[in-house]
Amino acid sequence: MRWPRKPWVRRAGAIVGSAALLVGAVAVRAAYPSYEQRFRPIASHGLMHQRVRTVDFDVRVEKVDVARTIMGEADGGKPAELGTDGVFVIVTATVTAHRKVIELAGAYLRAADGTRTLVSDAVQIPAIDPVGAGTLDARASAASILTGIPPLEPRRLALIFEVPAVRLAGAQLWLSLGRMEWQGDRQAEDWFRPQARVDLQLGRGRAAALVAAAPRRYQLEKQCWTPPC
Amino acid sequence: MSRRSSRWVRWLAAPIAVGAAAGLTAALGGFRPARAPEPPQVTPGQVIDQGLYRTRVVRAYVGRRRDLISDPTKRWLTVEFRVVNESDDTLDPSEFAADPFRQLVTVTFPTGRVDPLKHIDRVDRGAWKSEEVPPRTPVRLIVAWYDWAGTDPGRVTVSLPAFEHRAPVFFDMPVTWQTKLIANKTDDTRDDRPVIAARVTVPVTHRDVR
Repeated sequence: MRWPRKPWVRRAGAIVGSAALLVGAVAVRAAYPSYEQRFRPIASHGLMHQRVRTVDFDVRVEKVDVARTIMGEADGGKPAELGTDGVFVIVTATVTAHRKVIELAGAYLRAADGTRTLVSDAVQIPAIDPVGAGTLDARASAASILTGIPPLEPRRLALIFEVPAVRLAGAQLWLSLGRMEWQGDRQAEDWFRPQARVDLQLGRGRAAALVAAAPRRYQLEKQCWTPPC
Repeated sequence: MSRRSSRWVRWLAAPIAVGAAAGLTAALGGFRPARAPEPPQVTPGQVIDQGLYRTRVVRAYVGRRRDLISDPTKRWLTVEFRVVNESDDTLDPSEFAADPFRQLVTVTFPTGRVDPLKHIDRVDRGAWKSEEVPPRTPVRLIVAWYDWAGTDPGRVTVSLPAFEHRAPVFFDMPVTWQTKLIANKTDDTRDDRPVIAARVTVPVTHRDVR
């Protein structure tokens, strides 16, 4: 093949070639998975009422309630009402650890727009015994800092989230042993732990109905740690 | 002019033109480091866009706080904020990379003293205690300066930092919220002082909290 002799042909060729290289570079960069895609947790997916299995635990979401305010216990043990500018979403789920004692520190309500709301640390419910049969201790179980779930002993949890009402539709429960956090220059190691992602099956209509019927002064039901009660 | 000499003229003219333009720019001060613009002064109650947060300064007061400490002789300077977390995640100041909002808020007194030290802060939920700021849901936040011994200042100016959504390095890192720092004068490094999103001067009243 002979090199084109006319200068304008060579220049046009150079321009086209440069543009093609640029487009190619951008395309390769765009096709490359993002950091979060490459380093995401190993997730097991499922629906409400289904048992979703991970390496560390199983979870089955039983019900989802929505409330305007929640009754609980303030400092000193007095009953107190907690309000919010959004709504409270109460996800009741049963969790079974497989091989060792686990703590579910990473409980998120993941909205359709990608926001991840960590389980509320504000709600304190009267606790009798977080391990024996008694009142569900949302303070312990929700944050899962205080409550270890022993293997092969199912535990029923109420996970309480505070979200804007408009972000309820399409929400999922993301549950893992560690929190999904960025630690300055890397993901926390907990990020990579197995995670259960449960679609709460909240379509727009159902979400709107739950919000419209959301009660005030919601009382967490008495629940047993080891069902059946 | 021959064709050969005209080529030399072109070769020389280009750098001379560039040099002249650079000289003119320098003479007019174009290479001097740009001064950071003065942060806007907004009124109490006005929403301030900090990037990571949308914030309103609600009020400031000096008084005793039985809810924070039982010692009735201690007085506090408290500033209340209404804050919306605009990030995609719950912010938890008790964790690593503590919430920079409360670390970076400063108050300036009419005497000119700047006090960046906060002795207690929390999400104020009435009878409830919380440290978390959920995404996109407004919460009331209090920042209190312990054992306020001075006279009532009458008013304080609250400075709120700005945040930006950027990657720590060019490649292979997720974009995260970081404090927006004042750009350094000579190179691409950054100062350690935050850019101030806005300043709010708010009157200080007297109020005891039980």
